[in-house]
Amino acid sequence: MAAIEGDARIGDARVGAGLPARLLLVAAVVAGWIAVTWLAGLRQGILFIIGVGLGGALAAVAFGFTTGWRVWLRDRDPTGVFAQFLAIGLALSVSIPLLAAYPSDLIGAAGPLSVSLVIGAFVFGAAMQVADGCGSGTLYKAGLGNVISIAVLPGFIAGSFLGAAHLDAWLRLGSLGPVSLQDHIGAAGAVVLELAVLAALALLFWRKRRTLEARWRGRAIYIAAVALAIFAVLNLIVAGQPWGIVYGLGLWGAKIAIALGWDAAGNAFWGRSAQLEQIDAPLLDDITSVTNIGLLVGSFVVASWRSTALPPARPTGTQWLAAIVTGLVLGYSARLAFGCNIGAYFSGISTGSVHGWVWFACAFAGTVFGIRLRERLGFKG
Amino acid sequence: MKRWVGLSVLFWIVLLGLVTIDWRRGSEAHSRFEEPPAWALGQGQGVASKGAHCAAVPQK
Repeated sequence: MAAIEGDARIGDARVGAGLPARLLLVAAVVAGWIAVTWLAGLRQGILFIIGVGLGGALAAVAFGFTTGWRVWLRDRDPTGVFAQFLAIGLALSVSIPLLAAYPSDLIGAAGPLSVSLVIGAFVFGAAMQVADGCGSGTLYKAGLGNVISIAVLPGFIAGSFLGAAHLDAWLRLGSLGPVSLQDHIGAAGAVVLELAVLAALALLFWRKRRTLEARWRGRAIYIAAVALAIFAVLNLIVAGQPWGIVYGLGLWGAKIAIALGWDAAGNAFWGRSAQLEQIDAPLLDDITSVTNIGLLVGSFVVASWRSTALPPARPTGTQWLAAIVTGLVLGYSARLAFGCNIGAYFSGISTGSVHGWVWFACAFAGTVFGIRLRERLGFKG
Repeated sequence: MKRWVGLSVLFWIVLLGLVTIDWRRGSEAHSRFEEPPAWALGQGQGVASKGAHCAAVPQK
């Protein structure tokens, strides 16, 4: 499997790229920003840079939502989970008051509490361990040249498109609708309650710990967590909606399907007038797509800067097949669950949506099965 | 080494190619006078109301 998994510990000193290469990398980001701003406007240009920042923060320390959970379950090292809680806790402390203060400008990631959420999150939690990447993990690793993640991505796109297309049928299994904590206990109450739950979980993990250096060393992962929180809040302020990934991938799939002759008009999701407008508009006009592209660029730039891009890998035929199939499962299940680790877990919780907490519980349970399956398929790390 | 470098290069070529094709097939030229505000906060325009997020549900 890719070298980034083979790194026993992340945070060791590395020899970075030379000055000319670094200047080229900076020039590539500036050129990308100018191109997006020229073609799609200032807001989209800013969102591209936010995406670059998100990808850079993820790639710099191999920030893994997937690995954070796996390292906890295997080694009882809570470092990765703590970093996730720190990022989410910081983001929710700013996002929920902003949502309350500017209800006509900003919207949260309020997904419904549904049977599809439980099933989708569980399956996603299992599949992300096999693929060694969730929504953000797959994107940033694909950006830095991890061949398995590149193989996962097309299936992820197809699955996201299909999952959204079938979502109405899954919702007929039962749905309570979205529940935002701030609607019931106020913004201050939601912030206090969510921070208290995160702190209680962190305390539980701390008491059960066996090590703190199974994968990450030093403060770098916590600095990356703070950076992720800042960029996520900036995404909310600029886009008017929280950070998401999977919707954009599904939109790419819908565009390809329509280009191949599929008729979206009769579909309950893609046939909505708002979605048809999104499909018809240039991809660079879509909020989620432009941050996704920025994330890919950011991870490539930072990994190249640190000479960690293009990790060597020699996947077996079974692993290639598993990556492609798992990508499809990841995308499909993420749409059933109203988001991946970013759209549902990170952005759901950080904007006060109860579906984020349900996603966390169900995906964590699925991860236990996914780790076993991963081992049976012979993936290392 | 060459194989995974080649796959990564192919990935970027396909990605940039699809973005370019998508842009070129757009029916309307981008109007700089109809751009959304640079940020949503404080604009009072509900710029993110199109359901373009992972939490969006199917509705007619």
